[in-house]
Amino acid sequence: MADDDFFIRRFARARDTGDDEAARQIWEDACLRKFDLVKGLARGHRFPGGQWLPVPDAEDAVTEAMERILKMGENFRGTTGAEFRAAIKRAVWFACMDTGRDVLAHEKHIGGSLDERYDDSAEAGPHDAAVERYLRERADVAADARSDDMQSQRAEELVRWAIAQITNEGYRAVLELTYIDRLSGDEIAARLGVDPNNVYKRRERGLKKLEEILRDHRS
Amino acid sequence: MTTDRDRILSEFIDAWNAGRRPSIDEYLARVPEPEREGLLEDITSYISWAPTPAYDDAALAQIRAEPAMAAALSGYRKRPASWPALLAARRQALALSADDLAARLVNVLGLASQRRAKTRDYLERAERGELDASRFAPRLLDALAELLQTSRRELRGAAGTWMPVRAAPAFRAGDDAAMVTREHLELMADAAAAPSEDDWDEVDDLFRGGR
Repeated sequence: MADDDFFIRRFARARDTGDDEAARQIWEDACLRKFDLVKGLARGHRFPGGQWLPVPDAEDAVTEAMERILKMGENFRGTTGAEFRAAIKRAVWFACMDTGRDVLAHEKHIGGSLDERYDDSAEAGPHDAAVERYLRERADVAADARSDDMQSQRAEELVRWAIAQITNEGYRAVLELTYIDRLSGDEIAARLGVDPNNVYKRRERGLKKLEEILRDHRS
Repeated sequence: MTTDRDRILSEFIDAWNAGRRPSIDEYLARVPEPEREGLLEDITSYISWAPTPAYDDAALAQIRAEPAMAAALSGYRKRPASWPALLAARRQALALSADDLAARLVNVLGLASQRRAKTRDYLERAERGELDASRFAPRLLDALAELLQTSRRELRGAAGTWMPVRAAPAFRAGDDAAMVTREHLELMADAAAAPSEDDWDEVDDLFRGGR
């Protein structure tokens, strides 16, 4: 399966050998596969004051974000899928904020400033610091043992690493099968010998734990 | 106890992983209003970390045809005109001489009136392609966008370049690159550290000061 690392590795090779046209094409292909993520993140965007980006404005934000992401290829220096994802999240966040400024700046009921950062931090989103710290740690460990195979595993390893921090074995097992093995709810239920309802519950609660771990890790 | 929300979240995850491109709003509509916010948070949290779905060709064609994606691709592919061509075309379209434009620029930017000649000189050099437009200050681009009645985006696009030449990979590729270039690098470092003999002022800042 062609994951983020597959595309970004090829992109980086084309970029570093000066094959700009190939780099541009690969970048476009990678961005196309991120459209649903961008759309979803825009749909779930919350301003620092807690308000959601209004649904009618989300489409504008998606267009703006996608255009920024496409253009990002001009200056993107990363080599991993994880860096690509972090950059996408930042682009969506800024596009939503800019759309919010244009559309909502005059509405009195918006509490707080649109310019505030999430959770009073200076970061673009709640997970970016975790991604960056993780990448730094990985870079330290892998500095002497870098290979294509290892790089292709990075994005997956980030999720593995976070899931491994979850202490509840039941949640952990379901999340591993969901994120890593990409099994459906019914397949997980069959694999673990539990009722599908139990899988639904573990997924929902496990997801919350994962979110907490990633948030805590940035501090 | 398992709730409908848990089940619906799980169904969303399955559809997402399978590359079926589930509509978030359709899933939200399946839970009572008070639970939608929580479900939206869970879905957003999931997709933030989920692997990229395995899209088939039909799904990719569908994505490409989405209005937001089509608009973004269209905006992106419309390659910006080169800076000299854009500046000359806009100036001529508005029947402005370089001197007229310099006068207006000085006024808009609040520069001293004696900077007009130097500003005109910079504008003429820019039109001849003698300046690195990526070093134009954002303030200058904004003012030019206003005076030339064009969008900031177009000007910024024209001022940028697609993938500048990358020196580092070529440098690393040479076995003895460091030895060969050491002398040149030292000379360049000395030059960079030497004080300028020119009178650098705010107009230089605007046109050559970078971002």
